[in-house]
Amino acid sequence: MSAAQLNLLLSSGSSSIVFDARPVDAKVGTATAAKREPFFRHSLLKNAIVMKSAEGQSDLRTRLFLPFDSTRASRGGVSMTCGNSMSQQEIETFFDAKLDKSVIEGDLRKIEILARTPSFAPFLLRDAFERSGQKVGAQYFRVSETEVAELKSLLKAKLKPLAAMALPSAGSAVESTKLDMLVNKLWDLNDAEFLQPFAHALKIPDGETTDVLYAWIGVSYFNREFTKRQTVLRTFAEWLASKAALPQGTREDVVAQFEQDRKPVRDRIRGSWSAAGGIFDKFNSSYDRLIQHSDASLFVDYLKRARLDFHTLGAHLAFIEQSLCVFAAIQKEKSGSQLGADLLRDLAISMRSSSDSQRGQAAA
Amino acid sequence: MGRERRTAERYVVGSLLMDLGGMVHETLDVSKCAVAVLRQSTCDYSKLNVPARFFSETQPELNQSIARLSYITQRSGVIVLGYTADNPEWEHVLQTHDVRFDMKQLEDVFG
Repeated sequence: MSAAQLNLLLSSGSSSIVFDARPVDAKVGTATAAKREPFFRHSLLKNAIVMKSAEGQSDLRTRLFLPFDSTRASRGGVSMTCGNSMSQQEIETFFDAKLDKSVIEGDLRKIEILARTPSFAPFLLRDAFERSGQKVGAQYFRVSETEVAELKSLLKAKLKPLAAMALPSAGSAVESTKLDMLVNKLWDLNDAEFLQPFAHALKIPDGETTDVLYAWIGVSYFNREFTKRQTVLRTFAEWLASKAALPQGTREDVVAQFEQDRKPVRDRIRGSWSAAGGIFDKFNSSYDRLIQHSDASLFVDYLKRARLDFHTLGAHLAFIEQSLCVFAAIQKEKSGSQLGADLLRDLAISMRSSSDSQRGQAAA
Repeated sequence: MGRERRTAERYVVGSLLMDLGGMVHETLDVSKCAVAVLRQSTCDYSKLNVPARFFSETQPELNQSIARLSYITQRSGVIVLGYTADNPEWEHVLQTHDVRFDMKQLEDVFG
């Protein structure tokens, strides 16, 4: 990711691919801004910025970036790739220092949650931290309480047909059992006694119930996130396809470069959008079948791929989000501006480099 | 009515409740002509000539009176009732509040 793109992402508030753990005063570069509890406890991590980046077609990487100058993050820094499981030794090797276990331990768990969660979309990330029991200030997630409540209510509503599968057998009435309670159990995913027969009915392997159902909820959430972006993505795709994107009189070399850059960007967006669409087709048909015909067979099949889809969608969303952030900046420029063309160039280059790195890894 | 229930598009609407003779029922799914609700042990479903309506505590556009009710079937904890609502836009209202999202492939711009 180029410095210009990093700057754009940090200033746009687009937090589904960038999680900025810096204190407020470091972000705005003033001493007057309100202080807040640091996200990471260890002082070495206090100015960390964590980023998601799509690599290749559908791989998703999480990188911890430490800027040399916390008030000017785009001027460079050091970064490390984070995995779902982080050891103290890994981070000590990165810093080339011995770290206090009592301080770094909690931070490592936070990094693991950031790595495991396929998007930094504030609702999803806040929910992941809540489920993990890790205490993190709500101010780190740019989502209002109202929005959290609305989203929870929407996603829980989608669980209603599943909860109905756990209702008492035919002939008996529900008595005091409330559908809400069953839905809440499916949402919380922490009542093993309730989940076990449910998991057997859905043919989920033992020990995987929480992960599989959480991934299903995650795919459901991504379905909304992608749908929300389709209007602006359409505008971007039209802009990329338009011959009139550059005004008459633009220098020939700028036009040639623009032509060279826009095709791979358009192809890559199309690839991500179409792959995500394919996932949602399968996801929705299995759900539709359950509702329309009370037939869970497709749903059971879908659950087998829910975890993979959840992470793949994170990669596609990361790429689309990165592109839309760049497009938002281009739109602020005058038509045909050099800066706009440069930003598109950056995007094309970052896509090429991520594809190359994927190819390199495959070759290795 | 049963055939219509099988063929009509069913929607899942989070906050939609049904008031049946003063007893509030949770809905599971609803089409333009039938609704699956959570059965209640204290409700007598053989007497369906009681005042009934759909309502929502948070979304008033889901408030809809029901003109006529009929029994269709029941299964584990659920009873399915046929109904008529005197509102030609009712299915559109349900569609708007359905929990599913329709992501378009944008083939016209991507080819």
